[in-house]
Amino acid sequence: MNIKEFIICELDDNSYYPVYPGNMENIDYVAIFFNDGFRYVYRDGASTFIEKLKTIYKDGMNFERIELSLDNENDLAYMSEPYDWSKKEITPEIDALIETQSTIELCHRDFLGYVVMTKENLFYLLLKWEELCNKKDLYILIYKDDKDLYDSTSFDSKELMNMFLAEHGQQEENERRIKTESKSTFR
Amino acid sequence: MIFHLNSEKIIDVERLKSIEGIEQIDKYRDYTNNFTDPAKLKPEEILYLNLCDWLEPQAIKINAALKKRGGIKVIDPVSKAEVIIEKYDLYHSLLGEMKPEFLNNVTKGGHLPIAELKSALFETGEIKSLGNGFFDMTIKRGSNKRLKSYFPLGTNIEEAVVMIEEAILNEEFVKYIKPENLSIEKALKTTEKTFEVVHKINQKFSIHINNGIAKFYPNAL
Repeated sequence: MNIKEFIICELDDNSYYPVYPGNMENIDYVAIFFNDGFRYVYRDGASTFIEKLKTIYKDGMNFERIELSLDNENDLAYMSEPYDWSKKEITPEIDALIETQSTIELCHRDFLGYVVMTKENLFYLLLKWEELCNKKDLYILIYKDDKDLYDSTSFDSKELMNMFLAEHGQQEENERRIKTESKSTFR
Repeated sequence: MIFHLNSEKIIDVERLKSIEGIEQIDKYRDYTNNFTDPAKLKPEEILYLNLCDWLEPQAIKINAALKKRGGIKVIDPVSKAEVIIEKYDLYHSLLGEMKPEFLNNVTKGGHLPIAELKSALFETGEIKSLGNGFFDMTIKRGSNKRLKSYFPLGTNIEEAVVMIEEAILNEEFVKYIKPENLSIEKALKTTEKTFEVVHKINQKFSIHINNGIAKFYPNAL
């Protein structure tokens, strides 16, 4: 397995915070969801949350810093940034899409930054994160593999995590990030 | 409406149980096990559900009248884009959206200025008059800050619908908003269309129609 993209989350005061490489990448939205939305998931348990996504939250939900939208026709899950009206020009078309809650269309028009994965992949991640959060290792690594699937694993030391990244084709990128490491501003 | 402005208890649980086919209510039906567990509801959610109950008979009457006359046609005289509105989504347009536990969605829809509902939900900001009683207001929910346009204070549901219909009939000022990612040929064939209409009092409205169901709002853009 080769890793195509990754982001490291670090345990601090009982929560995991993303350690950003500095430039926003698609996988960063997964990390924001993990940091922001997963608190609600963890509260009731991942299985209960998944059941709710299949029933009362079928089209997704908004959190403080991330929006989860489900495309049930194509079995896809979108994690996107919230609307920021000051950031981009609002055309009448964009305005109507915001008003009618067409978040997925706004993603397709690049009005919102987002990441997309299959619903199955999302449900897998939710269950995996619950397992990893219960372990309380120092680091959780979120990554996209060469089959474009998102996965996570945890490490109780930086050395073990660095070794894992090196074994899966990300030694150079990881070393580059260590040199320019900037921690999340969301703590 | 005053009777329904109650955020302490569901005014008529049996009536709410009997309302069928309204997505905004059904979400809470599932959440509260058909309203048998109202203790799960926050005051804002109770207020919203009471207002849904208040809206329901009026929405039925307005949509029945629309159906009886065969709907209302919206047509852009320039692009020739047209669509027939068969039903109004008055819950979205006038009360807005709310989801159990996650109140962030309430920034979507909801253009009737019900002060009690707005103040229970939002941190509100600057108010700017659009003329004729219409106004824009900045609202904030979580990290989502936006400007929203409202009908004049005191507008009732029937009046709001009448204004929209009068603007649709002001045909010379009906404009189809073509999606940027579609050619005009493809866009005209879709069942989802957005129009801008202008009332004779010069207030602009946007109407989004998807498979015959219209969502609408006053608009400053």
